[in-house]
Amino acid sequence: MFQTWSSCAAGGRAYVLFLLAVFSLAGSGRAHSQSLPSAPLQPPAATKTASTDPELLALVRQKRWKEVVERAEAVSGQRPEDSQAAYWLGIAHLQLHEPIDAVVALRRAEKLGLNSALFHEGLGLAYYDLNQYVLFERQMEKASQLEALDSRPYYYLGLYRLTVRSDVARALQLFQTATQLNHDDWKSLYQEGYCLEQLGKLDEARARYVSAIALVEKSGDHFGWPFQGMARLLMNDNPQTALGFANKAVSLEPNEPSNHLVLSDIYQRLGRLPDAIREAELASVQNPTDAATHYALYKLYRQAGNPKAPEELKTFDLVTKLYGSN
Amino acid sequence: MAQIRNLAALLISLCILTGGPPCLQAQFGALVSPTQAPQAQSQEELDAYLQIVSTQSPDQMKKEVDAFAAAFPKSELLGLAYQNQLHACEQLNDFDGMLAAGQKALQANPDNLNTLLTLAPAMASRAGRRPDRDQLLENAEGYARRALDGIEKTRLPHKVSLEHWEIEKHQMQSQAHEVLGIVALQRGQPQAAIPEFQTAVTLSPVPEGIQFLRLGLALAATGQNEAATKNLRQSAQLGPDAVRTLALAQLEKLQNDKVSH
Repeated sequence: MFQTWSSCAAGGRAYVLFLLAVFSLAGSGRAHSQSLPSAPLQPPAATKTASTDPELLALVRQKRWKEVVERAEAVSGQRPEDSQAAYWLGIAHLQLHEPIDAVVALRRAEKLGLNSALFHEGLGLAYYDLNQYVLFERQMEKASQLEALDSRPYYYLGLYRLTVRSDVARALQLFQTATQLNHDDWKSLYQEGYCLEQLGKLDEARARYVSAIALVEKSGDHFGWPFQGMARLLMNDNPQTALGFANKAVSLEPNEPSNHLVLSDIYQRLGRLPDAIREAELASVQNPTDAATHYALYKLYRQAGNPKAPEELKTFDLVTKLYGSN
Repeated sequence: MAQIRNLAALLISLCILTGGPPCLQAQFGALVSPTQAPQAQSQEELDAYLQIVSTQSPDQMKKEVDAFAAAFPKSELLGLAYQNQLHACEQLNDFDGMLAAGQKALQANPDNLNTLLTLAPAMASRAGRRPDRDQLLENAEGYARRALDGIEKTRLPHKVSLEHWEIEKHQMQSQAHEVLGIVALQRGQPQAAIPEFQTAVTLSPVPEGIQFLRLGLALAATGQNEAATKNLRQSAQLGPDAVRTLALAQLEKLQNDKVSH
């Protein structure tokens, strides 16, 4: 996304795309953040203009999004009234992180009559990708009105409340609604735990993390967050047990910098300074604009008498000045 | 003084030939927090805005921004829309249109670096003999200084890497100093222009022929012919063609002056 700003001289489009879409849930550097959830991939409710193009649907099933775009554009060209071709065009653009094109295509699908919960979730996520939160919230509300038992709109709204609005109490309510609607929704369960942890309700948080871990282990998904949550809760009183959870989180999601930072913290508590430094360095490479990571690394270097400490402190100061300290 | 006036005229023609200094690429201030992102209040409002953004023709874009402003006069996206119009007018070489759109964009977001550093070079280079020349130069200087100040205070979103920011920052600072140099030259103060152009050259991440040309012209205006020649040669080497032609012409003039003396 970001490389697009340099093309502003060629026209405003890429530049404005940058302006509108700098932020997403992904990569914010916060411990509780997660990637923006994938758009719903099931076909939306059929309309009288529904597409039955088998080639398009096959490409969708294989998640070959660039080819989906090509095929959907071709189908739309032949049959402009085909709402599902417009829908899949929008979803493919969303998957390819092209939110403006996604919104344009999904709006066309809407005007052609698509009006299902899944459709509104997809459009809502496209709005989210453009930082258009007013419209995002409205689409999620429409989705939940159309399918009252669908937990996903509440999950998305909860993530928005938590990560964009920093409204932990409201986020907790939304995640609780999601888990009430779907007891197996381990992502919402983890987030519920995280909100409880933020609110100081540590026993309740722990219970949610334990439940989420059980579900994740059952499903086999690569979702390390509840393990990291357990590691955080245990690191003060029982760092050895916390270490197991932190290692598990890293093994499930090795590219998540906060997993390495938590692991580093635990190693430091266990007196394993070289391991702590290695993990903090990994976190710093993965998340170079996070001030907390640079400060942790500075402290570890200083503790170890490492000559890199003063340079790391300078980096911390610079990163804090430019990016803030959250 | 006559020589300086000639130089100023040359700079103006340069700007027109080359389409002005390159467009500034980055703006961060308004988006450090996602909660500050301007919000459309209806799907139709966003549709209309995305239509502007998706338009390829600058002429069409200008019209669509006007239509957007008429349909959604209280839109939070208006500032961005006018920024698009500013760039459209820049592409159309419509200076008065740039001024009008830029002022409206600045009303919505007074410290927008992109707007400031698009308007400032245009104002400085095109003030020429316009009746509002003094005001334009004053504004250009003010915008350039405001941009320099804003660059230092910029807070970045995490998605922007430090390395990328360093490049962008230097690019923007280079542009701002170049504007200050042009303003000084337009005011007949080549001595003041020289350090600004030197800073612009030093900070520019990629050497630009036009900056060396401007520095060479300012040096020539103060009689520093050896240094001027060096910079003009560099300018001719870097190009593009319009810059190269002017640099070579100026080099020839310096050579002729030397011979005649």
